[in-house]
Amino acid sequence: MFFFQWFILQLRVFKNQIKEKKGYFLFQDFFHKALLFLIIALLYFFLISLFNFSVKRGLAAFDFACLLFSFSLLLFLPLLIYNTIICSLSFFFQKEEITFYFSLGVNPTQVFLVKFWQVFFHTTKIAFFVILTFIFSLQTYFGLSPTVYLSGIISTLFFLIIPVCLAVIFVCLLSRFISFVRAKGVLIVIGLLIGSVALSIIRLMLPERLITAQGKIRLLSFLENLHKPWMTILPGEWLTNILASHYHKDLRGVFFNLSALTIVALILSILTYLIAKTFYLHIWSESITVPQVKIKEFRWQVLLKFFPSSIHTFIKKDLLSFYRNTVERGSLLIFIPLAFIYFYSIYVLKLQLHSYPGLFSFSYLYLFNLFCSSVVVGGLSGRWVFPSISAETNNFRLIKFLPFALKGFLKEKFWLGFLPLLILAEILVIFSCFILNLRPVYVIIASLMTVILTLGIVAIALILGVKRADFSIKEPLEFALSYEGFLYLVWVFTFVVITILLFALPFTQFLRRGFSSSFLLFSTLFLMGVSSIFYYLYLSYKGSVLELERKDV
Amino acid sequence: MIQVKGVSKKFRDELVLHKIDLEVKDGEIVGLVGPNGAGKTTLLNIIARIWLPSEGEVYIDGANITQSKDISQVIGYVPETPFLYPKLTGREFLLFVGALYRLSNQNLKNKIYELERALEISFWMDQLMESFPRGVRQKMNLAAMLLHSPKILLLDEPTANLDPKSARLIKDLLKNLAEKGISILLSTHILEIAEKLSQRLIILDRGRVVAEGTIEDLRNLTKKPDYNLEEIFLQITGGKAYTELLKILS
Repeated sequence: MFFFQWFILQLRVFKNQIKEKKGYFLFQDFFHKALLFLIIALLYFFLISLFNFSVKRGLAAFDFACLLFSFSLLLFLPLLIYNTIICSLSFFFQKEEITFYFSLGVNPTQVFLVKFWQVFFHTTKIAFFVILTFIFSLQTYFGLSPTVYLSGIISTLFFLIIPVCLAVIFVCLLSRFISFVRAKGVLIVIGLLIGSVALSIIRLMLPERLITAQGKIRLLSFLENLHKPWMTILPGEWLTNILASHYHKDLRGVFFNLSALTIVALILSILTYLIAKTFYLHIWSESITVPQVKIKEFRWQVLLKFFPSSIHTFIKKDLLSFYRNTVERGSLLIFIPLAFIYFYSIYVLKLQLHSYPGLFSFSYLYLFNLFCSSVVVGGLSGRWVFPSISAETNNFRLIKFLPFALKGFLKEKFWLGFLPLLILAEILVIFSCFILNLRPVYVIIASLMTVILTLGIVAIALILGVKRADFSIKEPLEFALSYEGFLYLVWVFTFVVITILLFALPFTQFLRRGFSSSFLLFSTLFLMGVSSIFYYLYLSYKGSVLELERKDV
Repeated sequence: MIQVKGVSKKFRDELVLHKIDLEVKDGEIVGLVGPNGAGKTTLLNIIARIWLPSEGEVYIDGANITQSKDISQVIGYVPETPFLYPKLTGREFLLFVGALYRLSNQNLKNKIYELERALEISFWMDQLMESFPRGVRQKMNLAAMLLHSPKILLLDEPTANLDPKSARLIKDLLKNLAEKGISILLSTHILEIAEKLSQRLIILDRGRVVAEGTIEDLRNLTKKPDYNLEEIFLQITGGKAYTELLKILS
């Protein structure tokens, strides 16, 4: 009963949101939705090309499709379990909302059920669409009966219940022994570590080879060798068998595998329900009392030396907040695989270009390198610098109220974004120039251009971050993935392309042809161009500061 | 001294404050009372220069706040929802605010020591702010706003989340500050506090000042010499509707 009332309430909230924000609502998470749609479309075309390839080679295309599907589900399962664990740690332990339900006298198990379906919806929606894309590609390519959609959707839902139940059982048992705040921090760091290793391994497997025939054959033989007889006990295999039974028009097979999935999903659901009934109220009550934690001292004094003294107060505040946030601090781990993947990709590119001499000069590679490093810096700046103003939320009123704070605040956001990103960009650019064996003069120019590009990227992030500031956000990531984040990326991309084409490209041509009398003219034009871009950015910055001063927070 | 002259505030097309005039003299405590949505917080935000008025002017010690940027050096503002940096300790928060007020290190440390004792928050000083109960957050914000010894204090529901002992402590502290010449403008729902603490009262309703003066002035206005503030308030801001509601409920 409570579940239906809650569901109707959510529908009303959704309706009111649409009513309030009208057309804007559709674009609120535009970037997020567009990216998801793009990934699904790419997956569809990749699958079709793989099926085409197998048919042309006279291979058993459907069998390979099933192997690929089964392998993907095998990969999905741990990812889904992990994602659900992190999500459960937030949803099951919400303080205000759940206190409100309990104050109304709602049974804890009913609250648990509502939260369970909320977690299920949030964690499985992407997986559901990906599996559906797979079923769609199989149905359209191999001409399966349309009933595959019905059994496919039902079996997918049962299949997805399994990892969610496993994760929720794990969370209930874990929270019985460790505080949920600590559990969340530790699990996120472990997840990031495993994710970093997995990303590096995928890169080492050279996924770009998949566009070649040789690469596709390798993938198919890899899948064939990977498949072992014992894997038939996995739920992913049952889901695959349902699709295979449709292909072979074996209704008994469909029924048998669907029954197996349903039974396992039901058993796990009952088990989850029983565990929740025993533990949920207890672990929730413990979670709402914030434990006294040992304060970690951070020796930031050394780092402060890198920043202007007028903003030390703000820097201290932000560094301490960052350092004490396990999730934010842990996310720095992602830089390690990022740098590894970057250098390895440059190394592979160098080897590939050696195989095609004369295709284009190595000296142009530094432009490509500049572009790639700027894209990385733009992405990181979009994650940290762009939402940094909005991330102040309600506290921005304090900044606005305190004397001289607003200018210092913006200055601090700039330096705290610019310096680390500049160091990272310089490391990426200079090391990759060495990997490519470029002449020292190119290294110097690439390094100077990186300063200009990073300065511009951080300035754009701040200007747009100020102009489009939203102090009602809950998470900085939410702001980075919104329509505003998409706009920011468009601006950054345009800025990087213009700067490289207008300034770095002509510079390269001068260097290739040697210094001439027109070099002075070019240098003057270059300086004027850079100055006008930065003067424009400076004016926009001043304008947005005035706007921020007038903004009602 | 605070002088508000003809201040109006519009949000989109909605007028939330309409030509407000008020004055708070040095050493005076003025209570701002009114029903929810009357515009009390909006008015305090405008005086604190967090929001700009759509019309009218605010003067602090004779200086127009929109023209003088240093005005927040003499004001302390404690909002209803306290400012909070969850990952800072109470002490780090006070050091952060004090540094932005450009207080010297030693002076700041002495001031923090005095305030943590006066407001009885010593236990919480080295805990992360995310673990603070609401009342402690409120007291921590008050401490932050007293660091620079302001001449003017703006308080939005200063005792809303406090236990009786802490509420009494704050009341005594505010009286003490007023005796030292600090002007205090406090907005509150708790009429008992407004009545006992304030020398003058301003009743706001739907963005307009509907009554102003001492409790005696308000009694004369309503022609009910035996009324307390609660009864005066209900009469001025819609007592009729309230009586009808009581009838329905009973």
